[in-house]
Amino acid sequence: MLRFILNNEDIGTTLSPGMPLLDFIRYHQHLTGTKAGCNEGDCGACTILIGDLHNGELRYRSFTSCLTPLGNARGKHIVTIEGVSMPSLNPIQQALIDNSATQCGFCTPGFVMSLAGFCLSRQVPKRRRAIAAIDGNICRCTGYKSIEKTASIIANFVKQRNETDPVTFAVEQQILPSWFSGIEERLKKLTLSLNGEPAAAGTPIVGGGTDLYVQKPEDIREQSLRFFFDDPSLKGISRQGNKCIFGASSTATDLLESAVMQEYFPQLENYIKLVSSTPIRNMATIAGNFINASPIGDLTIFFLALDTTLEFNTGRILPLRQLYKGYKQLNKTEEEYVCRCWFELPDKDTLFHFEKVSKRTHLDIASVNTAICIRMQDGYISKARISAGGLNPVPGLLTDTAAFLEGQIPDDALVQQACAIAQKEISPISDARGTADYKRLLLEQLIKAHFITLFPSLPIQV
Amino acid sequence: MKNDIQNKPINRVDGRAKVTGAAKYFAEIEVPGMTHCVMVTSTITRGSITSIDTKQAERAPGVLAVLTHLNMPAIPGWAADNSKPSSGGEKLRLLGSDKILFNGQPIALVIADTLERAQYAATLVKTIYKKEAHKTDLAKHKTEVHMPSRLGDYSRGDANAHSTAPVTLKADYVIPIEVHNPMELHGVLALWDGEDKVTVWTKTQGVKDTQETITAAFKLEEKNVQVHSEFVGGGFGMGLRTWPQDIVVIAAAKKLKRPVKLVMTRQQMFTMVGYRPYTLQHISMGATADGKLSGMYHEAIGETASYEDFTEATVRMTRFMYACPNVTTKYRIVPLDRGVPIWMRGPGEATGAFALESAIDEMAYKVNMDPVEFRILNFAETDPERNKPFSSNHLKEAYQLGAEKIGWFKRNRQPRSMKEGDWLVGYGMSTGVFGAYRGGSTCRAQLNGDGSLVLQSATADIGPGTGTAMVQIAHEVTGLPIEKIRFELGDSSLPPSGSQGGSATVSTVGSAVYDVCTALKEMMAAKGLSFENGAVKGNIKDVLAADGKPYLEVTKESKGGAEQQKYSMYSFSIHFTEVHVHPGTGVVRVKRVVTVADSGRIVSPKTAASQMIGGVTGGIGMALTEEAIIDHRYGRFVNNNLADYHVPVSADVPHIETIFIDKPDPIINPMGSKGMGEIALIGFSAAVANAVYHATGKRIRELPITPDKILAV
Repeated sequence: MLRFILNNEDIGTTLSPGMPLLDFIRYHQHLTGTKAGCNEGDCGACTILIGDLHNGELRYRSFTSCLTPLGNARGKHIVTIEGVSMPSLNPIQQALIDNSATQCGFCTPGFVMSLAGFCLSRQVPKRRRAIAAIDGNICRCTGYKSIEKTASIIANFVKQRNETDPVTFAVEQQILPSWFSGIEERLKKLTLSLNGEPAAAGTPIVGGGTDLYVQKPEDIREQSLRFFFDDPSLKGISRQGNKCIFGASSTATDLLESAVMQEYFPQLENYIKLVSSTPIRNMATIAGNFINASPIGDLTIFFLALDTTLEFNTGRILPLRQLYKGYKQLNKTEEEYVCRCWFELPDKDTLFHFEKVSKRTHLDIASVNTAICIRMQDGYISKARISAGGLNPVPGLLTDTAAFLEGQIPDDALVQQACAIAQKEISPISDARGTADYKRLLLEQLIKAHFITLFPSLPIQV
Repeated sequence: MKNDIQNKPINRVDGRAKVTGAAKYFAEIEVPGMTHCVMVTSTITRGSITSIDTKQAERAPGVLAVLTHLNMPAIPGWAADNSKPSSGGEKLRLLGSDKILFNGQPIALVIADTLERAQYAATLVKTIYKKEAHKTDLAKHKTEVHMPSRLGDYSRGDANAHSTAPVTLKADYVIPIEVHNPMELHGVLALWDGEDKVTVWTKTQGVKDTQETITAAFKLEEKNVQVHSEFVGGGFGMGLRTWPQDIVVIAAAKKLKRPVKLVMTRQQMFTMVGYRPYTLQHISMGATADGKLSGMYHEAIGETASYEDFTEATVRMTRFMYACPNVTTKYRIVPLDRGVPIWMRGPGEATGAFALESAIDEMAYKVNMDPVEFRILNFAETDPERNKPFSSNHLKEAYQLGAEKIGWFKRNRQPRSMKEGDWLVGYGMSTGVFGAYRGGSTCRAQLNGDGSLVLQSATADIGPGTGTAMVQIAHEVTGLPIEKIRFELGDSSLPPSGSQGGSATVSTVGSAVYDVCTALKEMMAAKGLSFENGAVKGNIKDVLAADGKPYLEVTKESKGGAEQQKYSMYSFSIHFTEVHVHPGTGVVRVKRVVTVADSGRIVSPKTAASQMIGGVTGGIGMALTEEAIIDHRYGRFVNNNLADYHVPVSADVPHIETIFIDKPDPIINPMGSKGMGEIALIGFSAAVANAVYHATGKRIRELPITPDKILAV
């Protein structure tokens, strides 16, 4: 029996846990305010909130329900548009109407939920963050500017909460119905009564579901699955000595909110905002990004430059750079899965930067992405790693380029030569994301961008 | 004509239903005994089905039927239609034969008791094909042109003037396939009552049109076909016809004697519900040294299906937009092995305006004139195509207003002369135009004893806010408060109206609302009643009791008259934009937009502003990101999803300022309003291309303007 809370209702279901949560909500619960627009996590019309207890504290995040397995709802609070609607409109809904921010209205429930997610986030409320909260919602009619006005109004509204707990504030201000106040206690009780279902070894693994449900929804829906998203042994981001260790099921949002990552990567928010969208970042696991083996996985490129190491369930240890044998071919057995990962935190002499260019400003797959990590010693580059995606069948390191940089003093000529060497390490193809020539040019520009960012005083010819 | 429509801003009347998720689109309708349909589609592009094995699918749990060309009941109305496409090819008869005419063509319907079971069973259908060579690449087959049945050749004056003038310009333009991609997926739910009566819920821009198509397909009586489409999650043109898959699903429901619901997938939205066709254009333009246009030649070749001709007015704008004595236009279509296109927001004109308004900009630079001044110099005071006066035309004022607002004349006109930080800065502008139409519409008014007013017409609201505009018009005519007025639409049993298309709804249906409210006032006067201070004056309850009626009712048909022949009626837009171009990566960002609309009196300012902003945003997509790409080796799309087909996201959209001229058109209709949905988008892509030229010195004549094109040598 799979148990969770849906809006204000306790749910116990024996339906297949592989079923997408969207199907459960729409077809089995007949809550039709949550819309199906793409079933691939791209449009945001099916956005819901999922609340769970995180270190004993209730935390809500937005999810695209089309890619969320029902199994990932276990012991949690699922909130749909019906759950935030009250006899009188909440301030988000009222502001959307007042600002003429709804047209055909099909995307609107998703926008309401994303903004509700912003209201419940424990991050300091800022206009910028309210607007970022809708980065996974597409409106085709298209009222983005009016929706952004609404987001600004909501950001100002939420700023008044100061130190008040987000749920308490939202209930007090009638952003949410009063029964939300009791959810934390109900979830605590529910957690005690949960009986985890033993997962048979050998059955397919689901993490966040963001790739699996795009690739083969029909196959996995009725299958016996192992749900790793909430496995506590696969969660957590911590520092041990000079290493950062993270569980395989950590998400991009977990990274963004991690104190360790924020301390060592001051530009983290600028990097992570380039990765997919808010709900997908809340769902997609980092190990999932590695194992997906996309030639252009953003987090893969990020962690390649940090020379991340993987540990499998078998105890085998493998550098990430050795994971890829060929296009979508992995150096791992069927039974092996990643448990945790670690990398050396950059010290004061180590510089890191990540760049991505995509056709659309946000919510897009990269044309080319790259990260750099270099250690400086007495003005020389003592160690360099550059990763690049979208240029070869597998994501990888530009080892010749890095080797060339080592022992050198960074200047314009060096960067130009490095760019020339990098060209010999790639074999891009022309496709929907750009021509091969354009991708070659992009890599050159992005390597220059690395150096311009890391050495602002260097005069680099672009 | 008395003009008492005021334009006070009101909120959208269906806002509450939309922000709470209570609005029910067709997919949310459930009826007892409902079954679910999933379509299996062809994986080849041209050829035939050798064999299709449905046994495994039929045996899967919950499956009620698997329908293919081998067991599909005939559609009686289809057999009667003998029309032929220009290619002489065969008509598409979905599930009517073994022929495959495009990739993604439905070849089987799998119907089961639940959606999950239908989806699963659909994966079990096994098909063997006989492949034939296919054609999907317009550029490769551009010489295989056909003369379209409409929108043929046009010429006035000297047909060679464009190339013999002192200053000449020749340029070729390409626009790619664009897909409407409304957020709501298309589909249909059909419920039969016996053999000759059917109720349908669907996504359509015209319930009456859909009713007519179903009536004809199944040879039924009109009163026995009911179509509902109250909420529509965007259309942009794809809902302007009732698609063959809708008809076969309705037929399946009849055969099964069970209600059947189909909700298409996002991938199927790329192949089965139309698109803006890939179009090649050539413009040749001549001008005098002092900047007077002396000749224009505009040719367009658009793609269509092998089984049906699709035409649109791609080259029409060139005929009347500027005062040019010698104009020749030519329009051809090439049948390909593709699904048929359909009108997409700003149909024809959006494609043509990209070419014409890019060329006009280029010519302005050639004769060393400011592009705004060049347009004003060549302004057409009267319609040179039809030799008729415009019903209204405030373009000159619009040019000035927009130019001032964006600081047009303060820019340095020299290309590649402006920078902000690392980014090149460019200003560009263009003109958009679309016919201002008024069709026929009938509206019924019911005034209740409590003083509330119900208005009914079988029109649609695909997003622009039809109900809101209609309530506003009724409010202004009757003085009743907004809350006392309800407008009902999206139901074919209501008094007839045309489809929501061609930016004509406010003009067409609004006139009927205006007329019926006026007629209601007259009827009331005869009964000693009137509207005063937002309420009914006189004892309406006594009147109703005496008449033995629940409400006062009047129905009025409304349509344009002789004025439509005497005048040329157009809506105009002027788009100004500032773009930034990154010289290192070729990335283009639209930073600022000022759009001026000369679309007559603005009936509903809030929804009108939304329309303009939305259209411009669609224009940003057209200019910079939108392109459905076919791998011609296989004849299928490679980016048929919302991750890879890039509609704009909020971060792509800057501040958009809309300016309304807001002067009533004295001719077109009682409100003086002209259309707005199309002009919001038409021409915008040219404004961006012109701004990119100003920023970089480089002309991009193929959309979308992607970084690789900017950086290509």
